[in-house]
Amino acid sequence: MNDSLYTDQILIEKCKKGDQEAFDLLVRRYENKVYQYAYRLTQNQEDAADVASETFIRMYNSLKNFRGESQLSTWLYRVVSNVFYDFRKKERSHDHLPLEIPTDEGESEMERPLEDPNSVDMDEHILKMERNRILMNAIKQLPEYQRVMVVLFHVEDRPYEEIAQIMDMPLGTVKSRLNRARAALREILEPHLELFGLEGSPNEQISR
Amino acid sequence: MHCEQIKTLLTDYLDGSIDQAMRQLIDSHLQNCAGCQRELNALRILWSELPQLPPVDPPAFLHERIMSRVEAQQTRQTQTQRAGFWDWIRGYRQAFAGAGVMAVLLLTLFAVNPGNMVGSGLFPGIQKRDEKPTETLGQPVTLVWEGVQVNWEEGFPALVVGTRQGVEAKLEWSQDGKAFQTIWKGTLNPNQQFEMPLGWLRQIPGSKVNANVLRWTQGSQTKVLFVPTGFSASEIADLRLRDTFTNALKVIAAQYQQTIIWETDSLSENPYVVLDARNATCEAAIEKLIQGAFQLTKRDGHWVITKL
Repeated sequence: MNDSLYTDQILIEKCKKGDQEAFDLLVRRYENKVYQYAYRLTQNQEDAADVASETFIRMYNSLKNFRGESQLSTWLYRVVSNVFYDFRKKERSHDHLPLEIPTDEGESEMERPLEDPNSVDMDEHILKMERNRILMNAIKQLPEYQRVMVVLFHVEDRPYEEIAQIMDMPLGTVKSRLNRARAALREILEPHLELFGLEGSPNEQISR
Repeated sequence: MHCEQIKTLLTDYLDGSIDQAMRQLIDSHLQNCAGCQRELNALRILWSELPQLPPVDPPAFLHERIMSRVEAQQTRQTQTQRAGFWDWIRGYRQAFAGAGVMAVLLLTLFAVNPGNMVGSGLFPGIQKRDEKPTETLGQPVTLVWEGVQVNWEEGFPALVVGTRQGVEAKLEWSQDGKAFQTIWKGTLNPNQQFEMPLGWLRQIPGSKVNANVLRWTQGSQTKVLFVPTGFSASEIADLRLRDTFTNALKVIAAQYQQTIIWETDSLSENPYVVLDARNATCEAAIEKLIQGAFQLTKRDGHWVITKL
């Protein structure tokens, strides 16, 4: 199968004419990416799948208005972010389980297995897993907007310009808000810095 | 410069959006200031560690969930115009029975309906027709089964299997669903693609081909590719499906503007159905799909599929 034969724009045009298979192809092309991003935000498999589903429902409903002025992927990042905000809002307005149910083992289970366990230092691997867990937890403690920005820039590797498009904000605002988000994240990480190879805080060193 | 000023510039320093003069100023401060150096290293974690968070594998149900929700939403939108058209979907989710059921079902179905199979010795490609196939395969389709990607190539009918991880695998073919002949067996290396032309699965002129079964085994898991073909030329027109049973039924329902009600619970999404029934009647198309394993009746103008 060569779905790469069709550009997004061609598939979108086919969708507009009611071609279900074209829509299916678009979903297959982007579902992994959408899910990855949704998972980084929600940190929960079920919620990430729900956010991804809702994203594609919105995509389906909006394709007829999609003019291709921005990349489909950029637009999808925006939709996922908005769906995520909506989910969080709904969650706060209802007294039910939080969107992300903390799981201790979830993250490590989700990780892809090592291709060759003999080729790596297992201690280092365990340390790496622990660092990843701490990082994910730290991201989860950020307010939604900061979480979205940090994930977009640092995990999804989106440039400032694209984040500005995704979040519909001036570039300067993106940078200043992202800096605040980084400062917040860095604060959250403070008690764990040793795990990342940094020694105790200067204050501690002085008091010794 | 004071430490407080330096600290506000560290993120710009890290993402490179700072001019050379300022960079040198900060560098010289950092050489003499353990506090700012530590702050820099702490922030650097965001640049060095976050991009390395391991990718997560989407759950196997993801595509199914997305598509069924999109369809459910479509259904709500069109319900007022075409009440009842999507009624059969109601049973869809309940019908989502355990994996593997259909594999058993398929094999059974060939046992009860063993006639009219492809002539023996057809594989591999001995009687493959030289001329270009008269039917097209429509839009390309990709299925992902637990790490194995199966592609149905347009224009070049072939089963293309690729894996993300090395795996022991086997592809078998059967005319009757009972005796399986191994087509290929070996280790699939990551990113290696294995291609098998499917030209030989097509109907041989003058013969009555009902079905072939392809069985793909990966590790301990077996998947069945179900390939019913063989409508007579006069029936062939414009129905081409390569999909799961439920999706295949869905397309038939849409194609013929008919309501199809599925009243059994033994439906699985695992098998990959290839139905090539162009210009068949709705009844013939459904019959071909269910292959005598279920009963098809007409009730109140709807097609109803029930257990035998």
